[in-house]
Amino acid sequence: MLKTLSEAEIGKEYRVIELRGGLNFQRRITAMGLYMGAIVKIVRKAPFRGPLLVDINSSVVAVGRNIALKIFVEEV
Amino acid sequence: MRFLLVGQPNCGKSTLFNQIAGYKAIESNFPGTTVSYTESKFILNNEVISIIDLPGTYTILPHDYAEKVTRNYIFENNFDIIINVVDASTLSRGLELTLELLEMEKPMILVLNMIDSAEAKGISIDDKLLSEILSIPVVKTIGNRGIGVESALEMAYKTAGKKIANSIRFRKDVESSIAEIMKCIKEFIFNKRFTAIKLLEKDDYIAKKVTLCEDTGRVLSDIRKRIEESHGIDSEMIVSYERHGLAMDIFERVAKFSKPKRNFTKVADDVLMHPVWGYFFLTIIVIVFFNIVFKLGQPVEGWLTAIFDNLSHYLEHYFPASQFIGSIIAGTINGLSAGIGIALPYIFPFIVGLSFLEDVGYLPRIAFLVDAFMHKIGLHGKSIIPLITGYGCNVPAILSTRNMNNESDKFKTAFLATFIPCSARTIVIMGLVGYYLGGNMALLIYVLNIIVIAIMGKILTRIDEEPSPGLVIEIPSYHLPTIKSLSQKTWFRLKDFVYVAFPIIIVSSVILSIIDYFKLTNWINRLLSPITTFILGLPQKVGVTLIFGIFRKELTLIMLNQALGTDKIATVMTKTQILVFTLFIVFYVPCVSTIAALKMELGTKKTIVISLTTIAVALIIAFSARIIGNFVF
Repeated sequence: MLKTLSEAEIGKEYRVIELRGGLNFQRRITAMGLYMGAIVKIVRKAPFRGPLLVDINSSVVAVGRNIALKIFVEEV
Repeated sequence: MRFLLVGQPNCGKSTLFNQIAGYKAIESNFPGTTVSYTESKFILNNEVISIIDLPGTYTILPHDYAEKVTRNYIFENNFDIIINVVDASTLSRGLELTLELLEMEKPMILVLNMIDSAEAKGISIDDKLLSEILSIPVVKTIGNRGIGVESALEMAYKTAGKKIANSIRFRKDVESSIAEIMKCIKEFIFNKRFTAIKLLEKDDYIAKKVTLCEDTGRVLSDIRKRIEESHGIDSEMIVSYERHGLAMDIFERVAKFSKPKRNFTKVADDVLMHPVWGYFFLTIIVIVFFNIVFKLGQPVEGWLTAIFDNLSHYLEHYFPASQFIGSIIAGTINGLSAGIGIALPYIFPFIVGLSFLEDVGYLPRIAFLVDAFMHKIGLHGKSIIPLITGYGCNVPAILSTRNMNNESDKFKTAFLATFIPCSARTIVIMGLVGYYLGGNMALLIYVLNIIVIAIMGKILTRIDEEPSPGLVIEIPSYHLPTIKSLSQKTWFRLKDFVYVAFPIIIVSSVILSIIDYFKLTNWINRLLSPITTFILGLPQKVGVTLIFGIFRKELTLIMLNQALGTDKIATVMTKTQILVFTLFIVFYVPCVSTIAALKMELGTKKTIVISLTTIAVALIIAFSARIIGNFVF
C-alpha cells in the first residue's frame, strides 16, 4: 500500500515509489540517495512533527516532514 | 601544477587537505570572505604544487552556494588533475559523483578515504577491480591518520595531465539520445558527450556557455518526450538515475560484506538524538559551551585591555588627548583594544568550540532536533547554526548564512540573527540589568529576546510567502576531529571576522575620538532627545551613548558611565530607565561590523530594511518596558 514517508514506521524497510515534486526537489532528494526504487529504513523520528532519520545504503539522512510528505513509499 | 580536491560533503576531504597542507606546505593562501575554497602550496618531486580544496558537493549540478563555488571553479580555472575523494563507507553514493566527474574526461584519480570506517561497517573494497572498471588509479587512505596520503599525492603527480578515456556507458536508448544531442553541438565544454549530457540534465549554466545548432530545442523536446514515455521519469533526471544504477552495480561488484563491528555512532545517537534525552543533552551542551566561552574570555579580556590601557597612558605623555593628533592616536588604540582585547577573547573560544562541534558531527544533529521548532517561525533546522553563532558575534553568524539553500531562507535567518544578543550586548545586559536589577531580570531579557525573534520570524514568513524548501541534511558518523583541521577551521573563521570587523572597529573608534575632540556630544544629545527623553523617558545625556553603540555595542556601558559622570548608575537612573535603556541597546541597529557583513551577504537594500526594522522593534519594546516598568518598580 502506498503511503508517504512521514507515515512510515520506525524500524521497517520501504521502497521509494514516487517523488512528487519539481525538478529542484528531485535533484536535492536524489543527491542524498533517495531515488525512486531505493530501499530506505526509518531509524527514528524527532518529536513535535520534526524530521525523520532515514537510513539509505549505509548513509543516514534527516528528512523534514514537509519533504517526507512528497515522498511516497511502499513496505517491502 | 594544480591539483583539485573534489568530493561529496563529509567525505573527509578537508582532513586530507590539512594533512597535505601541513605535510610539506611552503605557503598557505587563506581565503578572504569572497571565496570559500582553500589553496595551499607544497613541494613534491622538486616541483611546487598548489592544491585546492573545493567545498563538498553531491553533484556538479549545484543546489546551494558551496556547490556553486565548486562548479564554477572546475569550469573557470585550469587544473592538471582532479583528486576525487570518496568516503569508502558510503561508496555507492559517492561513486555517482565520480561517474559524473569522469564524463568530463579530465585527468583524475580516485581516493578511497576513511577505509577504517568502511571496515567498521563491514565493507571491504577491492580497489584493483574498482580501478579497472573506472580506468583511473584508485588509492586507499585514512585521512585523519595520514595513512596513504603520500601515495595518493605521488599517484596524482604521475597521472596529472594524462587525458582519460571514459568507457562507462548508460543504457542503449539513453546513449542514443545523447548521441542525437551531440550532433547539435557546435562548440562544447570539455567534450561533446559531456556537453550533451548536461543539456539533457537541463544544466542552464552549461547551456549558456556552448553554441548549438538551430533545431536543438526541437531535438531535445522530442528526446524528452520519448524518455518520459519509456522510462516514466522526468527526462532531466534520467542521467542521475543511470549513474545511480551504474554506481550500485559497481559497488556490488567491488565490495565484500562481513558482520559490522559495534557502531559507536548508533549507540551515541540513541542518546543524543533521543526524543527526550536528546533535548536534555542539547541544553547541557549549550550551557557548558557558553560557560566555557565566557569563563575563558573574561580573564583574557582583563589582561589584554590592561595592556592597551597602559599603552594609551604611555602615549598620552607624548601626544596628549587635548591635541588633535593625540585624540586620533587614542581612538586608534581604543579600536585595537576593542578588537583584540574585548572581541577576540570571546570570539576565539567560541569559534574553536563551534568548529569542534562541527567536526565531531554534532551540528547536523542539532538541526535535526530543533527543526520542528524552527518550522514554527518559518525557518528550518539548518538556520539554527547561524542563530547560535550570533550569541558569540553577529558577524560570523551573518557570514554563515551563505550556506542556506535559498535566498529567502538566507534573508530570514540573517535578519533574525541580528537580533541575537552577541557577546558585546551580553556585557551590557550583565553590566546594567544583571548588576542593578538582578540575574533573573537579565535572564528575562534573553527570554524576551527569543520571543521577539519568534514573532519576527512569524511576521517575515507572512510577508515572504515563498515556502521554505525544508530540511534535507546528511547526518555523518561521529569523528574525533584532528588538531590540524580544528586549528585551520578556526583560523579561517577568525580571519573572516578580522577582515570584516577590525577595519570598521578601528575607523569608528577614531570617529568617536573626533566627536569627543570637537565636543559634539551636547549637540548629538540634543538631536536625539526626541527619542531619548520624549519616547523612552531617559536622561538627555545618554543620547551620545546610542551613537557609540552603533559602532560597538559594549561601548554603551563604558560611555554611559562617562556621560552620566558616575559609575553608580542607580543613583542617577531609575530601575525602569536602566531596563528601558538596556532593552533599547539590545534590539536597536546591528553594530557597523554586522551592517558590513549584512551588506556583503544581502546587498544594500535588504541591509537598510533590516537596520530600520530593528530600530522600530527596539522603540516598541523599550517604550512598552517604560509603561510596564512604571507599574512594576
